[in-house]
Amino acid sequence: MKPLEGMTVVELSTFVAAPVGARLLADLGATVIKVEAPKGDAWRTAGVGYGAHRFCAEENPIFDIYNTGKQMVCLNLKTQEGMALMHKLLEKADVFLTNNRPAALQRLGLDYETLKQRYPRLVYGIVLGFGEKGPEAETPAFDTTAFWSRTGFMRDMGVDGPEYQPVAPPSGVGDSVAGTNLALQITAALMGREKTGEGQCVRASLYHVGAFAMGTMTIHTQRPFGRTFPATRDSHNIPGGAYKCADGEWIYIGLGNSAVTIPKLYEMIGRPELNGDPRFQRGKRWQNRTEYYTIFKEALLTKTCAQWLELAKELDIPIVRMQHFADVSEDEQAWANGYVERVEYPNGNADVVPTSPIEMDSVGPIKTQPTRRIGQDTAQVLAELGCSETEIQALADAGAIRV
Amino acid sequence: MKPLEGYTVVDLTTYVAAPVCARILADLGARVIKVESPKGDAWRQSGVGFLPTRFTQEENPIFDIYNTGKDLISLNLKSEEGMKVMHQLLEKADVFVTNNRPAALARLGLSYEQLKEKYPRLVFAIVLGFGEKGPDADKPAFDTTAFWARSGFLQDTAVKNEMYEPVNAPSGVGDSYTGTNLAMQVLAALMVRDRTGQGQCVRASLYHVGAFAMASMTVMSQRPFGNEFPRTRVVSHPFSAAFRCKDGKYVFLSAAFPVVLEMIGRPELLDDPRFSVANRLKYKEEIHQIFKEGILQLTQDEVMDFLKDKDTPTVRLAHFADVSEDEQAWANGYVQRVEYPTGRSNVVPSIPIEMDCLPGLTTHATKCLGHDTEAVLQELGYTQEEIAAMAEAGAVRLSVKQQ
Repeated sequence: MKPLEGMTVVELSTFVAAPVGARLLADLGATVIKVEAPKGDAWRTAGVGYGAHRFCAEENPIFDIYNTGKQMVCLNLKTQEGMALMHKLLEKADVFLTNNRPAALQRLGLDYETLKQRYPRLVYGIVLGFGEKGPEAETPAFDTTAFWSRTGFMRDMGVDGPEYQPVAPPSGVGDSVAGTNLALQITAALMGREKTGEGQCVRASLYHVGAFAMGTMTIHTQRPFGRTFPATRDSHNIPGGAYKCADGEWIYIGLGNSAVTIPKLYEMIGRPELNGDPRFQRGKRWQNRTEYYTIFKEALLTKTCAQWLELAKELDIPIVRMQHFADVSEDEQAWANGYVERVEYPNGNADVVPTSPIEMDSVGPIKTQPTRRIGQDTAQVLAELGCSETEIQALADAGAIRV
Repeated sequence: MKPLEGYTVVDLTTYVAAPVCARILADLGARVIKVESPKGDAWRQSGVGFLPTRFTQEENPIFDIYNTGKDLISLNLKSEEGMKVMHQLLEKADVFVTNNRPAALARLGLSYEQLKEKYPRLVFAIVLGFGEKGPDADKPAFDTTAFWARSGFLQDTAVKNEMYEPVNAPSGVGDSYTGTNLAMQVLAALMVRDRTGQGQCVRASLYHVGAFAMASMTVMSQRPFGNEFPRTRVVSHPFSAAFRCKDGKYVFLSAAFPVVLEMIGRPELLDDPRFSVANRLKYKEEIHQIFKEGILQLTQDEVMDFLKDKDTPTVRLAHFADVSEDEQAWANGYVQRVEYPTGRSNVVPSIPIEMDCLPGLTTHATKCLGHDTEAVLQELGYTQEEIAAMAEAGAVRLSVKQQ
């Protein structure tokens, strides 16, 4: 039995964060109806910018990872009929989920206050950028700006030095975090509703979620604690961190409990005498950090990545090869655990995509489905609402829906 | 009414990911009993490693953001009596959360298979590193290694240039996402349990969650799509990138071409045939160079002032330290001040749960190791004498103040 079986979610959202939230709810068993404008979710064309020769309407894996398992309904909310259908959907819905900005929702009459009056049992989930209050409540936001730039990550995780550069922002990562947070809150609100019978509004703001994600840094960079970023390599978490190996590959040393890990690292690099070296005792390492880092940097350059991983395994040290994004789709470990899967597309191509990070016994493996086009399920969903074929045709002709 | 009122969670966790999960469950209304070893969660010492001057047993904000709202008890699970108390807690629990490695749990008799027999209604939630299967199933993992390094992020979001260095890894960010994912699954499992009476195992693996977070890049970096990482600063879109300003500060620019040209005083370039809408991606390096030189003539304030009324997502690239002083963060309650018994106060990010039914969630000041041991044992029916004897024998540890 799936946790959200019997629940219906109406999604009015675009790009990544809110769609991820709705996808997770679909994975958990809810019926998710994604309402798109006649032009479709703008994220459908994002892939074209990245690999124009391959992404198309019927093979769009970066759309699918955030939208699989949903019914695709296309309504023109600027028409009266389109909006009437939206409300027919909302009447039966348990959850409404959106990333539209509050002002736009108000214009459409789909803001929380309005919907609460009509549908008191509805759980209303919204992705915000910088929050509902403050000078930037209405500033448009993306995860690159609100999650990564505003929290300090991009500016502060670049390695300091003469060639300092801020981090190049990844695509959709902060969105995924925010979407997961939203799905969590929606699930909690549904549990609450079972007891009280009442819906409520839940919010995931990219900036808030980002600030909490960076919580440790947000705290220890404040004046009383005095840690500064960006950091040079020799002043960041050494002797943990990134090191280049003899074969040009990079490894990453995680420290964890440094009292346990550091003596093992000395053993690994063949320098057990460092245990007794007065320069590198706890409390002294900071002051001698450049020397300390240089010892590791030079030592790690003497063996290949594979050799280091072998030694790390024997010593049970948290060290990994630093992969490229492209390596994940070929990683034996990812395949063994079902963290990636192959999706077959009707054009004969197959693409490898990461799977849903839900690993519940009662849900089982979740398959990503090939791309569903704009309006693919419009006719069927309207039929379920009681529209006849003639009515559906008339609505399509009038431009109120797209089938 | 809080969604998880009446539920009890036993937390046997350390560091960040699993503690975040349990903290969220506490915020949602569950009673969370965190069981620490007599040495305590190693994360208590983490702050000391970073900044020994300020972090103490009484003032440990980076511990508090992941552990607030929990009852903290200390049991020696290697003693028979300590383990007996653990089982008394589990008997009454709805959820067990842990990040111990499967082999260690099996040795303690606390693996899922073992607990399922005894407590069929229990939801068993575990944070994994690289998953339960595959060559790295038993490998120790931290978010730096399993989430960031293994997913490709650290190598591939650094800017490619002659002095290339991977990005410095942040602390706890992937953990926080993984913990949120696990909490969401716990809620879903409780919904199933409340209907079927059956508990189940739910898993969040740092590597899996990381791979899903990077999903767009995992897909588009594969050979058929041909996007190579790491990239030079000239990414696919010069209109969405970090630029250095005259005063050495940075902005993350995200604005339309004509707006940027006007801002940098080069409006005539709009008529340049190289920069027609159709050609812009082809000439992105030239555009990037023009933007770079133009923005270098303006201060960060000048850029932000110019764009103020243009409804663009452009933001200042903040430092981590800026968040605690950001008007927008304060206006929305994304940061808060915690008063410590040392007489000092610290600013911490608040938990990103924004549900109508949970107003005013706050982070509390640090509880010492064993803070609630005595109270919880009393609830279980132990007398003062028995508790004293158990403390004497080293089976439990009472709060520092009682010793």
